[in-house]
This record gives sequence, structure tokens and C-alpha cells, in this order.
Amino acid sequence: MNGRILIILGLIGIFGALPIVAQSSGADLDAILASIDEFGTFQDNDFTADYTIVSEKPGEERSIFEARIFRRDSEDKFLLIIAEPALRRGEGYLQVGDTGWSYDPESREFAIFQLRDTFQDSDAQNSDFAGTRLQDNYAVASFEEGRLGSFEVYILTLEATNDTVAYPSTKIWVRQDNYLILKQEDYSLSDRLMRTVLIPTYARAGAYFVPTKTLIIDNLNQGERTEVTVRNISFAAIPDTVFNRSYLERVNR
Amino acid sequence: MKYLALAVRNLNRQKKRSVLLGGAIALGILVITLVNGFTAGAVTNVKDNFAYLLAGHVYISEETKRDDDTEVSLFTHPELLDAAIAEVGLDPRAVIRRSTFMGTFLFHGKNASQQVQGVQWDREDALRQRLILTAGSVDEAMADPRGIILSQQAADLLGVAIGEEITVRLSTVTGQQNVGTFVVRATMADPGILGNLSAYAALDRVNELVNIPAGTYQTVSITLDSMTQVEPVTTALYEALGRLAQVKPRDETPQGLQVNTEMSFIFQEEPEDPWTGSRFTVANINEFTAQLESLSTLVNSVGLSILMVLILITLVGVANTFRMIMYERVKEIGTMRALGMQRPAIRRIFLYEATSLAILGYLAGVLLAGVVGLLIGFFQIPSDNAFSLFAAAGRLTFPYQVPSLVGNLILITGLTALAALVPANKAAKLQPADALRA
Repeated sequence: MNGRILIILGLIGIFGALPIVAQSSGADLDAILASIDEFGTFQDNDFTADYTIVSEKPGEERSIFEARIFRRDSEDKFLLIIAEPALRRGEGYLQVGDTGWSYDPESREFAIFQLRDTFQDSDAQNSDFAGTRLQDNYAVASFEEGRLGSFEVYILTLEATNDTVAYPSTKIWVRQDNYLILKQEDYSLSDRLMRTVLIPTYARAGAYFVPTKTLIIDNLNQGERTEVTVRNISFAAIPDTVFNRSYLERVNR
Repeated sequence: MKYLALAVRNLNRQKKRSVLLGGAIALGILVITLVNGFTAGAVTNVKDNFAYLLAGHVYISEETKRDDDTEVSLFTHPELLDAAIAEVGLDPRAVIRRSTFMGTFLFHGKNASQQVQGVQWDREDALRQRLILTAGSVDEAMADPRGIILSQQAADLLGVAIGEEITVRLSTVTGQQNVGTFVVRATMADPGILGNLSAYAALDRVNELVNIPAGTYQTVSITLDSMTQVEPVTTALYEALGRLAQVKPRDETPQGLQVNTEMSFIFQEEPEDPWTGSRFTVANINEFTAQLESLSTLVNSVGLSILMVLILITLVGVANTFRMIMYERVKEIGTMRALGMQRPAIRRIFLYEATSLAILGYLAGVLLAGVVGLLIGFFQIPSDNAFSLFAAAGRLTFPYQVPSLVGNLILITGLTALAALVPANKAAKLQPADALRA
């Protein structure tokens, strides 16, 4: 009896896995995810860049944030300091490993900060500015080949392997020639499309690719969108003292 | 008694002067009574507003630390809490179980942030009675598993009507993004700024959206009959739970205006001792309003300082006036002394006159404070104004504070008598013959 069940389960497993294996012929799914993480995570160098985040909402004025981001992905360190608007200047977000703090220069108080939180009521999340960790958090649920504009792409549907990532499932359009993500759709736990991310341009710096323009469209609230532009990219070493709470306090004086 | 009658007659002889001096005293008392009343009213109202939002006075939650170090707020051992509640002897009807999330409602391009309270409608009689509905009914909300009651302000902001479906964006207990829908079944009158933030829906629907099992809950609130029970009940529950399970030390509970673990207004990050497994947290309304009590004490101290300055200015006037009164009445004093009145009696007439003035001024001040407080109370503070946090149903209240009233009476009477003491002594020391010659 047990043997028969095992055989049936085995057959179900084989036939269940067949579509993905068949569809992925010629494409190593793990290699694609690994490449995306490799491009988006700067393991050998520190990273500094200026970000402009323009957020548009129906019936509201455009909000524009200028921020400088410091990253040391090899040590899971991330720091974002707001430069504009003047009213928010000096606000900062520091993430070291699993612990994150936000700093308010007005009250001089730190609060708990999480990468999965939304950045300043925009459509961007703090994690959009940090390194990519698709392999750690997602598994490929389905795969197909397709076309996006003039590019041949792989379309991967990813399901979260843990319940702490912001989006339980996500769909990515990856260029077949260099594995760069061109488009991403993020879905809620109830499987509603929440946002679409379009990345039309990347800047190449050595082995790294940095998205220099990202458009995030809110699919729940019509007309709401956020555009992220990256400038002044640098891979120069950042002093250790930068990734520190006291730096956040000091930088505002 | 006859000296008191003489003192009152003297006050009546110089009406204008008495009114001016008494008026100055009344003004000082008016200010301090209003300040005391405002701070006492504000503290009570803030506590009431918080008790309404948090559905009680004592709050218990259970956090579980998972293997990935994520903390999840959910009752996984409700039987332990039930045992502790039974041991303390609390009325089960006073225990409210809820789940909550902070979400953004979306409707035709408009959005509004609300804290959605998942309630067990059949066990929330007090809530059902307190809700003042502007449209729809609680029964309709109860009958619809996706039904929600929104504040009128939130409904206006979204432009949504009864029966329409709205979308909500939220995070689950582990931080995943989720989207769901509700159907607006009723709208409620704005119950103040904190109430404005809240919407009410069925517990199971909220659980489904925050991704916790049906029938479970995240917070337990206990409503008590009086504020004096808050600390004893909190301590008893803390100790009872401590005998059954791991409980977060009470001094670790962060101070400040923190609504709950999901929604924190100000949180000064404090280092915490490492812990594993599940643990309960017991808190009460006083911990949320501790800073407000300090602020109230500070405002009262400022009020008292203002009163002291006003009194000092008034007392200089009282001292000068009584010196003048003494010179005006030299012949009268001489006559009374010649007729056999003793020195202490003369002094007593002066002191009675001063204390009568102080008491009359005090009474006028207290009465005026009551009238002014009542008039201010007529102004309705808009519920979206932050100041409405200090109001009861949008109106400021100025309850009389008996200890402060008694203290102020003793202070003003004593100081006025002290100011009149020097002229009174001088009058008492006058020689009858010299006084009659003057």
C-alpha cells in the first residue's frame, strides 16, 4: 500500500515539474536569479549615489525627494540621508544587518525602521534602494519566454519562500542576453497586482549594473506613480564611521 | 461676630475700592481655576479618548519570536490569559478581544488612512451603544462578513456611500503586502481625533487580511469601572500571568504616546534583553498618558506661578489700601478706642476686612471661572483638529478641582491677611488721644 502511494506521489512530482523543466530548456533559472542578485548587490565595493524620487498622486502636488544613499552590501549596511526638501533635510535611515533605525533631526530621536516599509508615502519601498536578494527570498514558480518592446525576455513568476518579504509573489521580465530586469509586477498576498516597476535604463560600472531610471506605477490607485533617478554613482570606499547612528546625528549639525 | 459685621460694613462703605481690590483677587483666582480645570479635564478626556480607541484600560498582547527573529503579535496561548483573568476575578464581559491593522483605503483615486479594528460584534455591547451612526446600521455591518463602519470624515474624504465597495492596502502580521475589500455598511459621527482614525469590521475578516487564523486575536483590552482600579488590576494580571508564562517586564514597556505595537507615535528605541519563544505584555492606560500627567503638572505649576505674580501685585495694592484706610479712619479708631475697644479688637476688624475681601474675591473668581469654562465648552472643536484629543465629544471641559480650590482659598486668604497685618498692627497701636487729635 505504502509503495503504491510512493509511486503515485513520485509520478505526480515528475509530471508536475515537467512544464517548468520543459519551458526552461536553454535557460538556467538559478543562474538568472543569481545574476540578477549579482548585478544588483555590490559585494566587492561600497556604493554611493544621489537619488531623486518624484512621486505623483492624483489631486496632490508632486513630492520631490533628494537623497544620498550609502551601501556596503558585503556587510549588509545601508544608509539613506534626505537632502531635499529642506523641511525633511537630515532625516535618515540606517540598516545594519537585521536592525534598522530612522532618525528625525527635529526631535533628535531614533525610531524603528524596516526595509520593507514604504519610502516617504511614495510607491517606492526602502528595499528598492538596497541590494537585490531574489535567490534568498523567492523560488521560480513558472517560466516562459516572451518579448518586451524590442527585447527577447524570460518571464519568471516568483513565489516568496518566506513570509517576511513585502510581496508574496512577483513577476519579472528579464532580458535574455544579459539578465537585466526590465519590468516587474508585484502582487499582494490576495494575489492582486499592487505595482508595476519599469526599469528602462541601466548604467554599467565594471561588473555592476545600476538602474538609473525606475518608474513605479501604483496599480491600485490610478494615476499614482513614482519615478526614481540615480546620479553621481561611485564605488569608492566609504569610511566605517558612516554606517553608524552617531553619523546620522552628526551629519545634521 | 460683631467685628465681622463691622468689617463687612467697612467694605460696603467704599464700594468702588472694594470692587477693584476684590476684582484683582478674582482675576487671579479665575486664571488659576481655569488652568487647573483645563489640565484636569484634558488628562481625563485624553484617557477617555484612548480608552475608547483601545477599547479599555488594561491591555494584554502576546508576541512570539520566530526562528527567523521576526516578532509576531498574536495570541497563541489564549488559555493562559483566560486562566489569569479568572484568577484576578475580572468580569468576562469586560474583556474585549480584537485584531487591528493600519491600512490605506482607496476609492476612485482618493485615499484615507485608517486603523481598522476587527471586533467580535456579538460581544461588544459597549461599542455598539457608543457608536453614533450617521447612516446605515450596525446590524447591516454585523450581517456582512465584509461589512465595515467608517467615520463620517473618512467616508467624506473617500467620497464613498453606504453599500459601496472600498479597497484597502495593508501589511500582514509578518509585513507582507496585502489588498482586500470591504463594503461600507454604516458611517459614524466623528468621535474625536482618535476615533476618526478608526474603522470597525468583523474580527475574522481582519484576521484574514492580516493573515492570522480565524478565531484568533491580537489584543485583549479590559474595561474597568474606575481609574483607581487600573494599577491594582494591571499588577494582579501581570503577576498572575507571570506565574503561568513569560511576561515582558513592566519597566521595559516604552513610555510615551504609543498606541500599540502596530502603531507608534513616538518611540525612543531602548535596548532590550534578549528573549525567545512567546511572551505576554501587560500595559495600561496610565503608561500611554504618563507624559501627559507630567505636562499637566507643568502647566499647573506655570498657572500657579502666574497666580503668585498676580497675587503679589494685588497684595501690594492691598497693603497700600489698608495703610490709606488706617489714615482715613484715624479719628474713628480713636473714638472706638476711647469708648473702650481694645487693641486686638481694632487689629481684628482690619484683618477681618482683608480676609472678607479675599473670600469675596475668591468666590467671584471661582464663579467666573465656572461661567467662562461653560462658555468655552460651548465651542465645538472640529474632530480633525489635534486639540480635540483633549476634548470630550469635541468640547473642552473644566471640572472643578476641590483640592486646588481649597489650597487656593487658603493661599489667597492667608496672603491677603498678611498684607493687611502691618497696617492693622499700626492701627491697633494708635493712642486714643493722638488719634482723636489727628
